[in-house]
Amino acid sequence: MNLEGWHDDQADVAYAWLFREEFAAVVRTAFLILHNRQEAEDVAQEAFMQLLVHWRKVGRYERPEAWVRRVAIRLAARRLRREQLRAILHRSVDPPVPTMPVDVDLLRALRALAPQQRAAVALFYLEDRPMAEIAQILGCSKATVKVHLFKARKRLAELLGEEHVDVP
Amino acid sequence: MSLDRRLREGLGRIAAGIDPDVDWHLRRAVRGARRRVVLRRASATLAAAAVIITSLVIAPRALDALSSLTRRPPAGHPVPAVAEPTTVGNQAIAGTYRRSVPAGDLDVRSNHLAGRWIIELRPEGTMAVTAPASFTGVLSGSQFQVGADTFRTTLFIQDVCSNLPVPTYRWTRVGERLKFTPIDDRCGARVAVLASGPWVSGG
Repeated sequence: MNLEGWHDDQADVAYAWLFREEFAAVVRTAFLILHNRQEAEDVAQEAFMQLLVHWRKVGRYERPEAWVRRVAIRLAARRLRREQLRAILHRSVDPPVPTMPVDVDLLRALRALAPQQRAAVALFYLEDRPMAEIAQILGCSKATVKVHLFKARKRLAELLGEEHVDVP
Repeated sequence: MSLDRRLREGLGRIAAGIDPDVDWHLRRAVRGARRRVVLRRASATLAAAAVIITSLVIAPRALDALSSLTRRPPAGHPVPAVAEPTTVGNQAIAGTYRRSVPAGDLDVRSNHLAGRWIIELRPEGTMAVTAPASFTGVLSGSQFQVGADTFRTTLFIQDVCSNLPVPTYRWTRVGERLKFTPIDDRCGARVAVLASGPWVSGG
């Protein structure tokens, strides 16, 4: 990859490596928040673009992938709130469910969650990240992450007719 | 199936169906970020140019305005034409005058104005003032303008009468005595010095 002279070669390689490692995962997490693939890709794209603009600084962080996830989740949550407001204004129907064979009920149930709860669920269940890391990504405390997950599980259990058992 | 298991498996299946073209996005991110950096640098250059232009064009004017403030009353107040005095009018009372300001007035006491004052009214409109030793305020740069029977001055405008309009007095001269009567002056200290008694001509 050639960043056309505004980063050194080593930085280019490091950024490209991180991009290839993490981009798809960030898109998937963003999708679980937005439920729209195109928007999820746009959000991930924007987050990685910001990462590159700030690469000199963020590239030195211990976990730059946490930074880019945090930006993507923030952007996704903001976009979701905007979409929800627009849906209320225009009384639009739910976004289309993907045509692939998936647990459609689960996907629908996820829509009932707040953006931060969706993000916590995606990071915990999909990305299998520990509480401390989720807290770092979401910019909150571990206790707050636990509250997000507890409320999310409770709501999902109600909607899916499952038994709610809290996870320690 | 437990909720946790359903979530793990269900979300995994949903995510598996999402497989973006990573290389295409990488190229796009690099292009976008580069454009953004170029724009940012251009904005910074423009801002720097604007600062330089401002400092070259506006700063001298600002300095002029600032220096003129030391010769004029605060903005917003009527300004006498002290920069271009009517020397003919000024000539009418040009000369050196003295008087003693009594200590009775509150404004006089609080501003340490009591004592012997000497003013030299020069034809070009400048006013040299000698105050009693007790007064330590600003006197330099005082100017005046004389009309047919009016007298305006910037005396004390940088000190005890700051932020007040330029005053107007009526002047009368009888022999060696020059007397000022306030028409419009909101500064008690100036009224006490200028108009609480007649000025007597003589060095």
